[in-house]
Amino acid sequence: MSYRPYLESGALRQMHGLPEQGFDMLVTLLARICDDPYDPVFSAPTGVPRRRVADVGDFGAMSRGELEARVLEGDRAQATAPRDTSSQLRLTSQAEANAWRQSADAEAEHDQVQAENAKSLAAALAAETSRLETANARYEDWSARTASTREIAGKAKAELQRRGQEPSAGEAPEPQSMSTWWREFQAHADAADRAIEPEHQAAIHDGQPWPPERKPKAGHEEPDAAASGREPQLEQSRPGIAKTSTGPSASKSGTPESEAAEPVPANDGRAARLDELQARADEAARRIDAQRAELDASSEHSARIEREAQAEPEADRQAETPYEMEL
Amino acid sequence: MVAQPVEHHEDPLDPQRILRELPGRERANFLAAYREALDGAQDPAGWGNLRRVLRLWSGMAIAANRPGFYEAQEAALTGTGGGMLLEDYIQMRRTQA
Repeated sequence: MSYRPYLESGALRQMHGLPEQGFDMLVTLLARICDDPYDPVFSAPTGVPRRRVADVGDFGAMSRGELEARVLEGDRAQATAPRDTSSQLRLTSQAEANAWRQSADAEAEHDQVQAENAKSLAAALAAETSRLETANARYEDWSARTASTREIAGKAKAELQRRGQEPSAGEAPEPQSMSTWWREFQAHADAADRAIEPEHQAAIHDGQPWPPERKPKAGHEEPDAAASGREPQLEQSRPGIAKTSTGPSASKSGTPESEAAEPVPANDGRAARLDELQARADEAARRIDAQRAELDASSEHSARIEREAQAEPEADRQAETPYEMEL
Repeated sequence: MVAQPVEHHEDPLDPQRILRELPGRERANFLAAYREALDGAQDPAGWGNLRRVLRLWSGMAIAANRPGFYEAQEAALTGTGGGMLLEDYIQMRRTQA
């Protein structure tokens, strides 16, 4: 499903006289909200179904500081993650079931030695299964408890990256509050109304059109050209609209959003940020490799137990007691 | 020496002020959102979200007190109000510029 911003008549009245910069900001924010109206990064619920609220904040609903706080929350949640033992649990449970079956088969064949060995193995596997179940329950509980925090942290991190900002505590400027912004805007709008009222009255008196017709100054950029410079911000962040657009902007639909929607950040500092990002990515990759190796070793161990538990040659059964040795 | 009265500025994020200024029908919603954010702020990382909630509801108090707010909301939710797509408005604004 895709959404498109619709301005009610009340909103349209307020648009009149809105400064260009404010209008662009509003369009960008609305477009982002419409990408996913329930994304908590850009809007918040109000308790009334289908009514959500957003503020302009730091050129988006959440300021940089707020986004960083969400990332931090996610990092903290991740730091407390118990080990995911679900695959080990599955393998161990299967191995336990096989051992019990092997024990039963051996008893049916009156092979007491094999039956006892298999029983010992099954008991040991049962204890391991129980331990893994407890660990898995802890993981499941953590996963459910932190799912929302981690999801929001992921979105917040993506939004920070989209803005070309890296999470770093304590640097974010305090966003201007919506109420302050609104009051200032109202004051400016009232002042502008008062200032043009004499001209309005004079125009009525002289029978001139109101508002006066715009006369472009020579050498100035054409309005359409100026407007098209802003267009990608809207079109790129609203794929549903871009699809139906027949204007010149439609041909730009292949432009990545980060290129189209954002001003180009200053070069100084960007290289350092990229280096830092790269270093962090390398470090993360090393950690993942280490964890994967550990998991692989553990899975291999469980798989070997399973394979051995399933091995049935009679001669081997008599000669080996691999399970006890393994365990 | 003359004593000057201290100009008193109300904190726009003061939850009591927000509660006082909100229409009655919004207060329960605000309190629910405020308490949830307050719980989250037990962790220092939740402080920003608490401020955000207060800022949003501070704006809501202004908006909800404007004449015609609920009529406009009803019209928006039922799709019965006049208006236009933002893309059409942008087009219109561009041609009028």
